[in-house]
Amino acid sequence: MFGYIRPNMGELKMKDVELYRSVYCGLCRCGGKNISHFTRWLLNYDFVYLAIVRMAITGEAYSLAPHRCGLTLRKRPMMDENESLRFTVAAFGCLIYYKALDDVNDTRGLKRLFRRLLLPVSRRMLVKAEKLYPGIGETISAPIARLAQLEKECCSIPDQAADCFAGMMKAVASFGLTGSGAAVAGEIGYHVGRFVYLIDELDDAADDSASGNYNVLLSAFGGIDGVRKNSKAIERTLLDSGAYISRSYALADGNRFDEIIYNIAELGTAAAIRKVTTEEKVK
Amino acid sequence: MKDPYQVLGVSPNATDEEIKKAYRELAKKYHPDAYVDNPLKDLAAEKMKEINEAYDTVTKQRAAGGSGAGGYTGGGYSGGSGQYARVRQLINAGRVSEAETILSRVPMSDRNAEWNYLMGHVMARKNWIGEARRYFETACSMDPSNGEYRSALNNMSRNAYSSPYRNVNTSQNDCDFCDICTGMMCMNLLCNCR
Repeated sequence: MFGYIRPNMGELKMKDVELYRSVYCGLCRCGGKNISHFTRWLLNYDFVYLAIVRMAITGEAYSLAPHRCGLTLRKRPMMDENESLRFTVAAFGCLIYYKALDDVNDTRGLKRLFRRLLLPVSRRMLVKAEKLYPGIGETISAPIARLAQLEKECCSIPDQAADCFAGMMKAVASFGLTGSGAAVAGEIGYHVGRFVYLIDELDDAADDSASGNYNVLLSAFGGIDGVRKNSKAIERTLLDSGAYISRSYALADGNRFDEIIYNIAELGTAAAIRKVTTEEKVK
Repeated sequence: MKDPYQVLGVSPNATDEEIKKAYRELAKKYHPDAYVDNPLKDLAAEKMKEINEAYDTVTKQRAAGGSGAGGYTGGGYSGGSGQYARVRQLINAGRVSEAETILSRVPMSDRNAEWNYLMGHVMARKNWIGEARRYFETACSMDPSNGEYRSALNNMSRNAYSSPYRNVNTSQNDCDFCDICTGMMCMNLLCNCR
């Protein structure tokens, strides 16, 4: 269970908590069935949000049914497979492959060999995803390649580096949609991607500083001390992304998942920032 | 056309006051200022138009021939001097890269508050909102009395929705029915003390 885009559960109604969990479990199940059982172990909250946003925008019908969880072996309500869930796990499978490929290129020695050995597994995910949604792989590969190039050039403008990942999430979120729905989903995707990229860089800043790895925030603020000194400005720009997500969603037709979507955009993002900034490594 | 009451999110039995309140809330939420540099600007303007039309229809219906209330119509950037007037025109027309080229040619020594403000808009149009905030902040610090610059900065962090749970006031000033009961019980106890 990874990811930064998650709800502030304490502020949600029980029915919304149950619905959110059912989407998570539904994606886990759908990923195992359509893409690979590995997606079950790697599934992250950012993609759960993506699935909810797409369902809200497309107005797609959904149903819940009790199924046994493979991890806890208990029966729990899960969302039945639908187009939004299937698409989300396909996009997630593609991202796993390109991330794995990027990791192979970034590492050396035994680590590289180990990662290379795992590559065929993720490659199979890409093939299955492409079969379900032709063209989805290209949507993801081009921005990831651009990001890798910027990282090689040690880009020091956070917005420029984040723009690649954000652009990729924008393309994924709006994939196959048309009209205003595509525009709204794309904008939400963009700011989810921007938020995820920048908060991940903030979370990794201390480790990257110690290991000498590239990190756009270290480049922008001249090292870990600069990042700590400017942590309020970084928090501010992350909160801005949350506000942009919320303002974009306000333009969507329908209000099926309003409580969950706004909760994550406004309260969940703030909680994620608090969690990262109060950890000893960034404090 | 959609049901105007549905657009405003009120029932047809709502009072005039409730309708006005709903309209004001929606107008605040979809105010064009909140979407000035947003790629969804046109969509927001459409939504605002729909809300204005719905409000006009409802008020006209209710006034039985009375005049419509009229709503907000958003504008772009206007004014500015010399080359910045041209930059404003380009931003309004969505020709952001041309605006950026003109701005980047301005010598460092001539980059005043207006330059920073316009550059902030260029960045916001590109969705580089971190950079946009930085330029808006510089513009505000160079000219703190300018309302236009302050408004651009404030709009960046404007949320669209307030959860009923997020503004729970836990201050000591709250006074609800339980507080009154507790107070009366305490008074009763004190009165019985000898």
